[in-house]
Amino acid sequence: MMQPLLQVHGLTVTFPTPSGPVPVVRDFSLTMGREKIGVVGESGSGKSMTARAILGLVRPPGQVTARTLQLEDMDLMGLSPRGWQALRGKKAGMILQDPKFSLNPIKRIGNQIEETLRLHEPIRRGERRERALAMLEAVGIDDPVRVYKSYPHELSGGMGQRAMIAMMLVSSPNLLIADEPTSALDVVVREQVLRLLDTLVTDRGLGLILISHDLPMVARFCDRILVMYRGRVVETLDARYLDAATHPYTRGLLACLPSPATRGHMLPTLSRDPSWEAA
Amino acid sequence: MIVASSPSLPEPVGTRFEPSSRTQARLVQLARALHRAARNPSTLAGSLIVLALVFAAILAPLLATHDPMAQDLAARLTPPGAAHWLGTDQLGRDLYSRLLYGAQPTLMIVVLVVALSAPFGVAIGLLAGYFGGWVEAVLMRVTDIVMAFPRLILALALVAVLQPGLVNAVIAIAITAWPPYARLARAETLSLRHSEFVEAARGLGMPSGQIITGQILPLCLSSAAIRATLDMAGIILTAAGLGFLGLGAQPPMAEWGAMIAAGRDHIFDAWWVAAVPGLAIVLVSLGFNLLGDGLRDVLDPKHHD
Repeated sequence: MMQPLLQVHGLTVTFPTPSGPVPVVRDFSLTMGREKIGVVGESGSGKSMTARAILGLVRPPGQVTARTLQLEDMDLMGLSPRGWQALRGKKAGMILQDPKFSLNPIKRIGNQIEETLRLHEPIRRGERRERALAMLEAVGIDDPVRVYKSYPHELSGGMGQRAMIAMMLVSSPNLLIADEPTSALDVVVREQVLRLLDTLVTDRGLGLILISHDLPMVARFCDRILVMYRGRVVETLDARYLDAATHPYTRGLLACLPSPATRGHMLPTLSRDPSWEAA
Repeated sequence: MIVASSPSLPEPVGTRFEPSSRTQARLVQLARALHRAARNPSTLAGSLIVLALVFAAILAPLLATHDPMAQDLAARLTPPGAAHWLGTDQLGRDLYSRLLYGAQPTLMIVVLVVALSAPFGVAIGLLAGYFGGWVEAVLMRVTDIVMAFPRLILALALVAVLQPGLVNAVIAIAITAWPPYARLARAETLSLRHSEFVEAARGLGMPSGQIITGQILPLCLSSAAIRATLDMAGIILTAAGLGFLGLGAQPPMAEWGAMIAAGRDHIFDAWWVAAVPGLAIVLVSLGFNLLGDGLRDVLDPKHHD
């Protein structure tokens, strides 16, 4: 059997507070191959924290524990800071929400894309430039040379997010984590960026973890969906059978979606049940 | 796009200037920045004063009419006139020439103090802001301690310990001048260290050292540069204060603070001896302040109209 890309068992992230440690991710488990996993849940459900923990980006005082945390054949538990640095960007990359903030405002796009290569691959300048330009073209930018020389503020949101994706993919990682990559974009551009991500992930055979609070979007785009509630995965679904969701929280989320059928009626609100947390 | 030359007229499409190379684009940016600065008369005045100071210091041997050290006791305390443009002091030395030569230690102190204190302070602030925790606690408390002393008094104490002299004056002023840079850099770093692009850089596997120097430092530089320019006026005043008390440049070297001190004895019968270097100090401090204000307007995008 082929080795899974990422194996996580019992991942827990806790933060100390004056009234004792508070777990923000509880017993998260996931085994994934080169597929598209969607993680959905409301704000504060631990989606982003899970992603950060997988890349070792949880800042102190946050504490990460797990029974297994393995990327390909590499054990990530007890990895040294230097080991993490070598892994991030090279083996796994993360796309953040808003390109306006996730690109350094005073550095040219080309320079920022090359930064990834400079950190991980000992290649010559000319070659770096070529790779960066090729990557910009691969993310669907018509005029790579112009964008290469541009500063982030000279680009639109969609272009910026494409540049960000280029920055993360240029040293060809196997796992890509996208933390709400389209929340800051308008609806039309959102569709384009998603389609681009889809193509890149499929063509290059990457594993993708897509974090979002947009359930239908994730359902359309991913293979499997993890629904998180208060730090816990409450339901794992095949994306094709979203309607077959059984957990009351997922059903509740689905019922909240506006649709032509419910036009004119008040949308329901979630009535929370403490037992969900224990599930 | 900001069109500095004609803010009221939108440029017609098609004739818009398209730089054809990076260097050219940089030059255009620079020209625009200069243009913006020059539109403001006080910035222009400030730059002219500072330029005049630099020229006076460099060209002093050419511009001076007399040897600044040459005494002429027969012509002591001569009022300003044709032979001595700004008069002479109590030893008959030409004040105009001494004023020009006095620009040299002044400029030297300013440049050296800024070159020593600003990088040091910025480095402290970056480390404190980025690492936080006990690193920040230790570094910033030390900064607070140094800042708690009145600047001139701390400098006085240091010079008294180190021996009076120009170099020691520079060291003493530099030791008192770095804390504001540390605070400034720390504040900027705090707001930047959780920014998404720093997070993204970490996500790419960039080590902390590279994040500090490559991602955060460049964004702190413009505010540090503005602070440095505004600081220069204060440095000149402190240097003149030390000179006045005999702790800066030693006689017979021409130094503005020391010249005022010498003129104090004759302030009622020969006002020009103290007034000439005094006015020079006022003018140069004013110049640096105006230039600093102007630089802030040019470099800080938040201040643009």
